[in-house]
Amino acid sequence: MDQEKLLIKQISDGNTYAFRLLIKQYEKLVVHIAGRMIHNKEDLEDLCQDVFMKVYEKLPGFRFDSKLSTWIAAISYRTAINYLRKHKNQTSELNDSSLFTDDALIIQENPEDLMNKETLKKYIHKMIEKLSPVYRTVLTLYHLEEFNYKEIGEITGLPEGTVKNYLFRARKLLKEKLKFILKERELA
Amino acid sequence: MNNTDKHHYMEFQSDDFSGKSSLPDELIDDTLKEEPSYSLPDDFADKVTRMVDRKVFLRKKIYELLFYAASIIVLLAIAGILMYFVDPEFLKSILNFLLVYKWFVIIGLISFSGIQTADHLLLKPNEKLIF
Repeated sequence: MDQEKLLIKQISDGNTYAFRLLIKQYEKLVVHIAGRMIHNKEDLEDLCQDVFMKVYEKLPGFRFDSKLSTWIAAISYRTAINYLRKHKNQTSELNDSSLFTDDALIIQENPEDLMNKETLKKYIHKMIEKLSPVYRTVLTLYHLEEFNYKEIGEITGLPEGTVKNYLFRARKLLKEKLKFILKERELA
Repeated sequence: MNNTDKHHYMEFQSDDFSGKSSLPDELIDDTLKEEPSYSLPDDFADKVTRMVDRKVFLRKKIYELLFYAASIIVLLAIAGILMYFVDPEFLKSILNFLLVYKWFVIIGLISFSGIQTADHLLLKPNEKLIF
């Protein structure tokens, strides 16, 4: 925490080398959150730049009410959500409160290929991509970034209970779909 | 993850609430913990730092130019006040001249400010690259 405070002070004093260190430290977190929602590589990079420019602008006002990572994650989430709102073709996906944005998830792989663990993982990745953005974000924050429910609530603006519910529902659905595939595999 | 979170996680991870994880659970866990395929270019931090440097530089220069402009206005106002006490007729003739040729004066001032701004913001930052 003290190191973070020192880093923030140096950045606020105009030390851009310190800001470079901060980017290096948090670029993975930002790209993990934004990448779950934006699939175009160039747009993703632009959005991440935008996030760090906002971080730079707002950093002198950071009061340590939360962890710096939570604060940066919240900026990333809001920036990505605003991006989705601006791009109309994805707006319907954003407003969709259902788990899957597209129910027609067709298994294209050969049943024999599904014997392979790696293929199954690829299939799970595909299923995750089909989840609505808020579910994808909650899953990423919890499993990949290891934030707790309270922190995820702070980042997404969702109540803690809703975060738990979303995690439970998303995992349950992924599990059901996967069990179905595994059953098919056994029958094949 | 704190203890309460861990407990809740174990609950929703297993079907029978026993805490034992099954093959689908393991696969889902492994997949969710995997590093995603998308990433940023290696020079991303340098690129953003350069953007910030440029922004800081522009902001500094704009403040400098505003400070110069304000200083000139204050100096002119002080000179005008002094002249009012020393030679009011001369001040009147200057004000009459400015009123008659106001458009020339305005265009002249805008051109001068424009050239100064362009020199500070566009040419001077590149001097280091040229020489």
